[in-house]
Amino acid sequence: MVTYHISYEAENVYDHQVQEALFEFLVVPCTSDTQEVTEEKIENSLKIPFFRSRNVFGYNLICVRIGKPFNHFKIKVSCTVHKATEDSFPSSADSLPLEEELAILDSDAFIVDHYLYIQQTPLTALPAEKIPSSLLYQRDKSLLEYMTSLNSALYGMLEYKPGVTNPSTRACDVLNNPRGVCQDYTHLMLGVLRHHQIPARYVSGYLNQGQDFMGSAQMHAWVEAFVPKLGWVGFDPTNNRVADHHHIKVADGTDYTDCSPLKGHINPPVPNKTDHTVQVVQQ
Amino acid sequence: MIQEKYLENLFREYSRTSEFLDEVFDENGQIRQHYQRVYNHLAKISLPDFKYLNDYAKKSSFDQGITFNVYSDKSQGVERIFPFDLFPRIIPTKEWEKIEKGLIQRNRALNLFLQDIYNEKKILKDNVVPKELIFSSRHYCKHMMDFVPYGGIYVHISGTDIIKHKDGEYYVLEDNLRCPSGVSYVLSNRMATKRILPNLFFKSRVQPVVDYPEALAEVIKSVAPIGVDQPVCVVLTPGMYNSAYYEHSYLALQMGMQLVEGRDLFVDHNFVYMKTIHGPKKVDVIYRRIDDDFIDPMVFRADSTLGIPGLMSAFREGNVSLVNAPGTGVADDKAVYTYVPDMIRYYLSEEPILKNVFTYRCEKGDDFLYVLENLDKLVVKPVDESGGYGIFIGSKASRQEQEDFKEIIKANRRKYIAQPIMSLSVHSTFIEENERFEPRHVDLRTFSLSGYQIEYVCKGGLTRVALRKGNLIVNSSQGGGSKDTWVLQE
Repeated sequence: MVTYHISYEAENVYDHQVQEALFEFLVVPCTSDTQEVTEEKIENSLKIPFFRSRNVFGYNLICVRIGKPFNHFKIKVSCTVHKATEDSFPSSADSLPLEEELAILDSDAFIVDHYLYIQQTPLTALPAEKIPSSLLYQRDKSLLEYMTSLNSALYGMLEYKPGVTNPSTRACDVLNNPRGVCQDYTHLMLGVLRHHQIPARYVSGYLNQGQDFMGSAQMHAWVEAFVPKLGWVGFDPTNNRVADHHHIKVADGTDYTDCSPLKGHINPPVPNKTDHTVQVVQQ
Repeated sequence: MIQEKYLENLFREYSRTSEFLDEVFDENGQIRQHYQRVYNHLAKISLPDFKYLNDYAKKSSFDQGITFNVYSDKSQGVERIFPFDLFPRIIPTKEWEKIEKGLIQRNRALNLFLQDIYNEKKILKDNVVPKELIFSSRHYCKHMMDFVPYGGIYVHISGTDIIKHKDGEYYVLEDNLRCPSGVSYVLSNRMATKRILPNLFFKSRVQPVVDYPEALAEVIKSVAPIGVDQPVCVVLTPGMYNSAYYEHSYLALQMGMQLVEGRDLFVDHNFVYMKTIHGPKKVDVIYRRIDDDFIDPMVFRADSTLGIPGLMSAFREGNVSLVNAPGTGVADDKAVYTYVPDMIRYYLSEEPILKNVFTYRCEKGDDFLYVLENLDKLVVKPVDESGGYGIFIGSKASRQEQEDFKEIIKANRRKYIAQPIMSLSVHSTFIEENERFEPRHVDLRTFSLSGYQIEYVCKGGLTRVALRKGNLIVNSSQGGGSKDTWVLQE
């Protein structure tokens, strides 16, 4: 077992006074088979009581409604997370025989159950003819093997470069200009997997900052893909790794828009500047 | 001295049509029995008197503010009245009973369908409705997944459009499940009839429609969240520039509910509050007349200023009910419509009471051959594209276009369905310019309500008249008018 102290800070500064606002933060790690959140502390600069809600996928939101004028707002969320170290990443030997795996993948019931993660979104959609053939699934090896090779191929194909993309950069843009950060790697991998009708979802979370990983300074993103019998399996194409005890999951969804750490609505809509700070310290 | 003209003379000159079913006159030009009393009454009115009454009806619509805005081209922002024709449309009791039963059956099935496709998805797994059709729908709403609104009711208010075909049968033309409008016309038309033709009306034993606002209020209150005894219910409008603003304000007034805009409400701790001079007041049910896209900028269109941030979270937490629920648009799509009879059989194990326009499925051998041979008489629709895209109208296509389209169908038979073009019945209607009665096409917008253990159908509905000769489209924004619609008591 490994224990992390995580803190997330967001600071919003507005050019003019805001009269009312609602903010939703999707930043607290989820509790699952492999991780557990123990201590949790939430403070905000306006001392307004927060409340919790759940998004459509059942993940915890921290929400604040501000009903008085303000032009500065800061929130700090800190927590302690225990993460299992016996990584449960499956091996190919656990897979079903290839024909059975493919038969399930092609079945109507499977597609209906997973359609949300099979259907492309505007951020993940790729024109079929633009996908390099080296990334395509030839149905000659198990899904797990294919996913692992795709993970490596994307790592090799893209250049990690902060500042050249933003959260609305689409997978097809990344294909044309193969540079970007974790959400670009992730959207592209989702696009390729979904092109093959393989269910795949966007995961947001934190990465252990004690290692030499790409993308650990801010919130990180990676992929979970569904393999019949094995369930959801995590891949981190930005680091050419499988998701393991260094990856602390917050939420998943169809793409970035389901997982963005901060959503807000302010009235009136005045220009603002937002700063996020993330700390992930292994104890 | 010029002899004064009576309506009787006008009816004698009435141009009959054998092409369509005439609601008032039978094939031999005889008055249908259920119209006899109205006919006798109208026949004795002189033309100048009738014109006077007609003008009076128009003026009263205007004075009450029963207007709608025309958005198209030059007339932007102009307020128009929806012309009201004094000759009422009459539906015999027996026919109405069938319509009413059929509507209730249809709404039960549609509510079960919505619950299914947002939760278990059995009907898709059983291949009764193609999954591609549902998943491609713009209105299939991710934010309704794995959640059931109070009582399993998604569609509290539905506006089913019905026509009477040449064969004398009623057919459903489409379902409107996204807070349909028009009921205020039903109520104001009835008010006008009572005022202008009181003797005729009160002798005719017409079933009432005035109970609609009360029934709507009951339905809205019936779906209040669990544990709320005296629910606070509001009507949410996009505002006074909306074309149906008159209706929003009218219904709110009639139901004794606050009429609010998005900026009057806010969400805190997953509850919805109304801003009042006495401080925030919790709101339990919202009859919203704002489209899904605009109701919550946190979830749907972020640029919406009409909605309430956080509303969907409050809804999914069960702290507020929305009437109608979001995501119902997936079930009133043109292609999904063709599967409603299958839904009725699937969920209710009943045969549909009301007819759907017949659908040929090209995947079936006989149907396929029929479609190829009769393409000029059919409308062909793709099953995997919603929103009216890719529709092929045989009668408007050239021979070459028809041949080309046959090849497209042959290449992917599963993808296409076809329907005959329906002919709407006609109704004798006073045409001002010609100072006489002429046949005009009519349809019927019905209004049904589904609440917790409440099912209600407004007895009558809005008969819409295509005022342009030969025009099959009957819509308020396309030069249409309306008639009071009478369902007689037994």
